[in-house]
Amino acid sequence: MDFTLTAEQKAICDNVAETCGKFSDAYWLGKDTTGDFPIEFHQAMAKGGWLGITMPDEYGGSNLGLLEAALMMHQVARSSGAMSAASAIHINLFGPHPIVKFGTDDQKKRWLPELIHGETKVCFGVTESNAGLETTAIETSAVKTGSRYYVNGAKVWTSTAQQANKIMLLARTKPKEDCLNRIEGLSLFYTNLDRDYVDIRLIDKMGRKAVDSNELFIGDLPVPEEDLLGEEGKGFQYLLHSLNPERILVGVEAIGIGQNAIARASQYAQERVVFGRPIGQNQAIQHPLAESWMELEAAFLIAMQAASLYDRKEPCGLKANAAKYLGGEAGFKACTQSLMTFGGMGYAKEFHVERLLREVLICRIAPVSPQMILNYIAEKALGLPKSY
Amino acid sequence: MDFSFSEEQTLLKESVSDFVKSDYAFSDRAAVLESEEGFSRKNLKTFADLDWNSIPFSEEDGGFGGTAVELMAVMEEFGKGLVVEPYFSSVILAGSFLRKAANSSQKEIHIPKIIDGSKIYAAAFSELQSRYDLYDVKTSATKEGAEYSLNGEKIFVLGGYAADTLIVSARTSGKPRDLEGVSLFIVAADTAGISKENFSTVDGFKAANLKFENVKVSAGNLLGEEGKGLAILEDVAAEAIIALGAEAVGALEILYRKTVEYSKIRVQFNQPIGKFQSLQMIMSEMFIEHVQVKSMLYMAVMKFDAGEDVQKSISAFKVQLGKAIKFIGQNAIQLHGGIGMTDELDVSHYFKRVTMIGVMFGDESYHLDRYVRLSC
Ligand SMILES: Cc1cc2nc3c(=O)[nH]c(=O)nc-3n(C[C@H](O)[C@H](O)[C@H](O)COP(=O)(O)OP(=O)(O)OC[C@H]3O[C@@H](n4cnc5c(N)ncnc54)[C@H](O)[C@@H]3O)c2cc1C
Repeated sequence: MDFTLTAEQKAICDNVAETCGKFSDAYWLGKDTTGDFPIEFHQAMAKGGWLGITMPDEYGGSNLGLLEAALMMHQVARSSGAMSAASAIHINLFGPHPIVKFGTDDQKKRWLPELIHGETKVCFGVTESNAGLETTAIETSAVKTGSRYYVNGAKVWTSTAQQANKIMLLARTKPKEDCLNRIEGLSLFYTNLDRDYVDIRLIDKMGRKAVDSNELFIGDLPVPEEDLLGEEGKGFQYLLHSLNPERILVGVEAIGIGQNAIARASQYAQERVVFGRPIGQNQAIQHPLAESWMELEAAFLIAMQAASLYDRKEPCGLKANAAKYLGGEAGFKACTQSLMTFGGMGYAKEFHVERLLREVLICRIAPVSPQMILNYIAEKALGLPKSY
Repeated sequence: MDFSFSEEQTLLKESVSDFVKSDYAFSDRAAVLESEEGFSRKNLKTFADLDWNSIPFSEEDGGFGGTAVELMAVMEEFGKGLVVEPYFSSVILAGSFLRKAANSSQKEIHIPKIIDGSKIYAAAFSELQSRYDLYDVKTSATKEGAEYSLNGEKIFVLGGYAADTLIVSARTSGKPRDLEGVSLFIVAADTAGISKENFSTVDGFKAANLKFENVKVSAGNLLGEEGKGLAILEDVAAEAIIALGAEAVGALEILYRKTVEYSKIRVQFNQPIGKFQSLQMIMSEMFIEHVQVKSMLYMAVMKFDAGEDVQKSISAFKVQLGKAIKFIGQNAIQLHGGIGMTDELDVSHYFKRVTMIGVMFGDESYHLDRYVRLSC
């Protein structure tokens, strides 16, 4: 058991932190106010070669593992950009995963280099409003006529669709009634997000304003058969392969945001003097921050363990889910406590912790809620019967 | 809404409180626990002499005609002293069955014996499989001419160890979990066919598991209507929760007060531990939990006396009580540190008693679930 990072991993952390450090609090507060996509940040990360960190080197990626990707996203989220910075590039890391794993050589050649260079932006169209967490209940359909599929339906929460020219899309290719089990009949497409057929409506939301989330209304979107990934009807299984990496990344992102919040609060607690002494001298201020520090460290370790299991191709579902749960909860608690530490000033935008709190909530809700993780752990780790 | 006690109620509360202070010091109680029976007959006589046994019974039955408010007043004070005599199990619990279901001749026979303290009563309604479901009754009562024959087992009969007379639930028809078909019987504890296994509970009380083998009970000892016992059981349980809950509220008050006192005298790092802010915060919350659960108790008592929403408010109270017991009980031990774990200090005894009350007549999650069911 070795908990130290290699020289290369340390360098990744330092370099990412350095790139992120160029984007100031003012930059991110500005983006949060206007809602403009952080394109400068996205470009800087693409230029540094970070978008292809997990992609195969023959297509221009760095071929590094998930552990490295997690270290990188931890640094990104820990920067002032928080979830806005993370979400601006996050999809590049786990989103193309099904392409790498199940795509043909031709598809990889067509798609990966552009993704790695940041020329294409992709969004992820899975969630639907009627299905919610029950992904296999989605209703968007893809019906094949000749060499094309025609997609109809609606997606919700699709992040970055305003920017994206590609979409990773889950749709039903076989009616549910005709399927043997609930995971059958769904297919995964990677295709152009053609605005002639897709109406994209922005969802005004609580935080992370700079990275849009949307409702998509899809009407007869033509998808050439070359854009189907792998075999028809196996899309849900393919998707499962990218779920664990996504959970680990969301977990470390929440942790990074929480650590940023705790650092800001500790700093403020040393400087702010009330009743003749720094507020940080009070146990009601110190102890909760200390508790958060420990929870974040512990969550980080399990996330690292999950990533390392994944890279060694060992089962990592339990640990990946635990990392997302613990990270999400610890990050949320840390941000809440940080805001409370600032008192009234915590509510003011110029101290940034309210922005962190608004953004960290995403890590609790998406891509899977804490309750669903508890369900999963109860079933898979404890062998208890399914409760729902 | 009036939350103050009447003069009479105040006097009653004070008389119980005086008894606890003068006759029920921690060392007196320890001696009682050491004794053969595990409780003091002398104390039982005092209760009768001071007329506390008559409180729940109506004036026409020779009682004082008290409401749930009087019950609460007595039990809260008993809770402060961790009184182990079978007052709750005999006077309140078993007595409640008689008050609610007995016919006039049954009342005439039994109630005076409870009031004068000459006999001890106990109620046997829990079974191994029943958990908190009062209708889950396997013990059977089969009618044979002018008699019933009882067969089955009852567990955790509070005060069953010393009881002269038992109130027993048994099924006269239907399947084990049917709501209908549960009947109640008055049974002399020495009737042939009853065997007892006595045991002590963690909180210093005594209970018994009872086995019934062809126990003959005359039809005249059927309590209430045949097959309609569940409604009575539920009524009795509601009252029992109020009484035990009041006892717990009294004990919780002592727990938080003792913790605060201790924090002022225990010195660490050259200062009383009560100076540490995080301990102050915990103690403030213990105080708040106590006030909250006491308010819920008042609410439940008032609803009970008014006959409004009784079962719902009882469940709400028991949920809050469960939370308060955990929070105050566990933190009392925690803040006392190592000494809180010892038998020599009364804190651990209070902890054990309130913890037991937390699971009697339904624990927190049972009542939360029940509250939800009653609300939809
Ligand atoms: C900012 C943001 C960005 C997002 N980006 C994307 C994206 O790019 N692409 C995409 O596809 N999706 C995206 N999502 C969607 C996200 O993955 C979903 O919101 C999430 O999966 C929860 O689904 P739901 O909102 O439909 O909740 P619901 O399924 O309606 O759940 C609501 C509540 O019920 C609880 N619940 C449901 N079932 C159970 C059960 N069996 N047991 C116990 N509790 C249960 C949940 O835990 C939750 O508390 C995004 C969401 C947000 C907020």
